[in-house]
Amino acid sequence: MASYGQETAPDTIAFMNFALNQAKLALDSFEVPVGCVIVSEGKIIASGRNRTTESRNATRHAEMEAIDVLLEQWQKIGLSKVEVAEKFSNCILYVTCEPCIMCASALSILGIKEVYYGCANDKFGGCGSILSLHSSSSEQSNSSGDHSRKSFKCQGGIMASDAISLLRTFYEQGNPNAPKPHRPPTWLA
Amino acid sequence: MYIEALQTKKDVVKKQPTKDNVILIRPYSRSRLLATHELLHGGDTDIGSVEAKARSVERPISAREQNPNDDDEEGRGGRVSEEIRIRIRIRILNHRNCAPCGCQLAHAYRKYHNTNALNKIVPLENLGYVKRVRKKCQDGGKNELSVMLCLASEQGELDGVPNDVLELFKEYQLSTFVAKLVNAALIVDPSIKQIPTSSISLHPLRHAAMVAIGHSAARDRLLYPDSGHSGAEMVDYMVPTSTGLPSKRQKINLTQVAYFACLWFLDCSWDVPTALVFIDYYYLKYVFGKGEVKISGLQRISTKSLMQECAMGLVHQRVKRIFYALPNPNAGALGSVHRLEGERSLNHRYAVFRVLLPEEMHKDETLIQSSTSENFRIKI
Repeated sequence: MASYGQETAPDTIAFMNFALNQAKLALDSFEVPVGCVIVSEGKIIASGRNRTTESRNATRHAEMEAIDVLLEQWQKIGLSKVEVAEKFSNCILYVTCEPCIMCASALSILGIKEVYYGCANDKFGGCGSILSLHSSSSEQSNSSGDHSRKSFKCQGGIMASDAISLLRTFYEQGNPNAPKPHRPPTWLA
Repeated sequence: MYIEALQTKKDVVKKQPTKDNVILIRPYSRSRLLATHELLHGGDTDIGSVEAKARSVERPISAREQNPNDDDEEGRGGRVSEEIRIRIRIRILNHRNCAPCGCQLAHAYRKYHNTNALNKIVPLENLGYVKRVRKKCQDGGKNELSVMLCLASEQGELDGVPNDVLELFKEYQLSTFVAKLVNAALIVDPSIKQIPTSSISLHPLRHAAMVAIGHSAARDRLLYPDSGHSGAEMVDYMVPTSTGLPSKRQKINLTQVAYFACLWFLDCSWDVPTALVFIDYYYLKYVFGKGEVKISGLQRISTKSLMQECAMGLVHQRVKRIFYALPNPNAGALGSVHRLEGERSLNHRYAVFRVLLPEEMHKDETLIQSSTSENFRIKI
């Protein structure tokens, strides 16, 4: 489980505010309000927000959007696989909601350095809530094309209330794109 | 339960039905071969060369020459039904060396038979599109035929069977069984890095599943720009049973067919060769018109068990069924390391099937490249 209640550095708050801004952008375009920024050496180098509705691709989460921005940039300038991995190992992700299993898995494949998130995601969180992909690295790798995954440091509960209130706003206005719920969405209440 | 591959085209026999036709089975495979090839490689394939290849890998098909009018093609789609049970099975397509696309279709495909005649003798209401006669190759080269004759009832195998069908049982000494009608599925040969990857840049996260989700979403937007139709709805989408009967023949535009069902990709992430197929019955419906196809959402097939990233992506996209061939002991999320399909907190769950590959394929890591085997069973 990610650690809560630690002393939060002012930097972290500042970057999380940027992530929350991204989430608000998502909210404005009727997406589930989750946003993130990726920071390297004290600078924001990429940002992303949910685009699942717009793209009708349910995997276009904020994290994936931001990662794709970076990868595209780096591939354009011709970085090799090793160099890209090196770059990611210096990156810190700030995201308003705990990365889902898919995103957490992606982050560990990329070998990101640290992840700070706002609210936990008790439905499909991959950083402690359901699975703990941030702390389980696989040693046996690279044989027959399997990916190595690295563990990364993960801290949750940063400005969680802001993230939750955004989500609540969204779900109160109703999510027109949500599939028919198997059960009523009481988990937010 | 068995899964049948490629329920998309059929050869129709234009002969007056006689009682003999019911179990008289003739193989027609060439046009199926072509259709399958087109399906996989787009409509602009050089058919002549494929035909040549097809002949070289297939026995000459005498029945075809006996019935030169058998060229009619009729679209058929998969369909789910609670009550109907038939036998289904899977085949793999292996293509390696055939011109012009660098592949070879090494297998014969399922033979379509005398469904129309059967429909007149023993009609199955509202299920006219279902292929009712099937041939199953068994070990030792023997073939087993099965004919779907009637609905199975809940009580017992022979309860509620019409009398004339019972007579058929006796007359031909048929052994009966109950099978379940499942949607069509499709396996594609992965292996090959030299097919259309040239334009795709390397991306550490672009696993086949993720690419496929992206493509299916893109195609979704293209096909249904206004409907707001999404993968999520796809799962729930059901066409009301129509009165469409087999007499209604539809010519299928092959390029459409080629386009429709399978988006197939190579995994363009770093060093993982995997391929997979998405089948979208919503679009089948779109192509074939009303009543032909019942929909049950996206399904996918891959050769390797998915890792968490892909498996979760497919949860997000509300995929309905997953078939995979090889477990992935290091990172598999469908039973190898994690079991996402059994994770109770998730808001969607799919059914996962493992396809059992023949022995010799296990030995070969490059597997599907060298596969020539054609029988696949699905273990449930």
